[in-house]
Amino acid sequence: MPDDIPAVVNIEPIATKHAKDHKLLILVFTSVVLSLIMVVFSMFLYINTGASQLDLSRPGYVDIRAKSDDRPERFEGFSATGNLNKEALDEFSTLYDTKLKEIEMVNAFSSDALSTKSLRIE
Amino acid sequence: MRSSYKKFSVIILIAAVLLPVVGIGTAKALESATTEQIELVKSRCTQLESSLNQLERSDALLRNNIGNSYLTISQKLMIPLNQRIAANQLDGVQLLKISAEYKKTYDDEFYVSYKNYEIALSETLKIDCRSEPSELYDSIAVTREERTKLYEASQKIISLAKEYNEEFKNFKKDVLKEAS
Repeated sequence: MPDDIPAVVNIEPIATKHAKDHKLLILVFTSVVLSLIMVVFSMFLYINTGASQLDLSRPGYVDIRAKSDDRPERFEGFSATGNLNKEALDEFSTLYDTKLKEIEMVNAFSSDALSTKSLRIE
Repeated sequence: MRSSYKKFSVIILIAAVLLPVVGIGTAKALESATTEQIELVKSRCTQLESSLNQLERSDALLRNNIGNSYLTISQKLMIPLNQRIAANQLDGVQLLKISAEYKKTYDDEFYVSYKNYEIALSETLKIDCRSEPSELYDSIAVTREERTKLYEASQKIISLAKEYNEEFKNFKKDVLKEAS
């Protein structure tokens, strides 16, 4: 009797069938492609925003990063709330003078360092 | 109509006189290396590479430290004071203007100049001084110009920080005068 029952015809497209058979492979492949796209996009941002020039975690800058971490105590700054009386203004003066002296003391990026004289190629 | 034509002619005449002077200045700044200089670059190749490498590393540290100090002044001193002035309903327009200019200089000039300088220095370090001494010499000249721009940006930041301090002193005097 079971022989009388007509066989079910599989009308599923071949491509869909293949996709179902290789679900895991497709998942892995898609994930890899997506990750690659995201890596390329991140690298584009990293290079074009200038972050790469400031990044001290680049190879060869590890010792420099250690030195930069070696900073003195944390600077709390001036509070944004409260009255502006004489004490508060004096406090600001003291804090500001300290920081101003700090930046004035450093003659940062003077072009002498790259002069032909200092490089001795005059 | 005749007067504006005259003015235009005078401007053109001044430009014609000044143009060669400016041109010479620019050409001088980027003039090519002489044979002696090329020989010097070749003979001092190792020391030169070492100096440039050392400079790149020390600049990275300097940029990090001084950049943090510049930002600290803006974020932890100027901005909180401006907010406190506003909260106390006092007039701090001048201080606000200077702090905005300070932040703009940091973002648009200092940050960008350092980025350009670092790129120029990295490009210089890629040049082989034995086979391309002349290119290295020229590249050092370009890097020097970028460094000068960075120095100017840095000086402008310091000058604005001083200006803010002066303005704060005036503000303080006024506030204390009103309070007494």
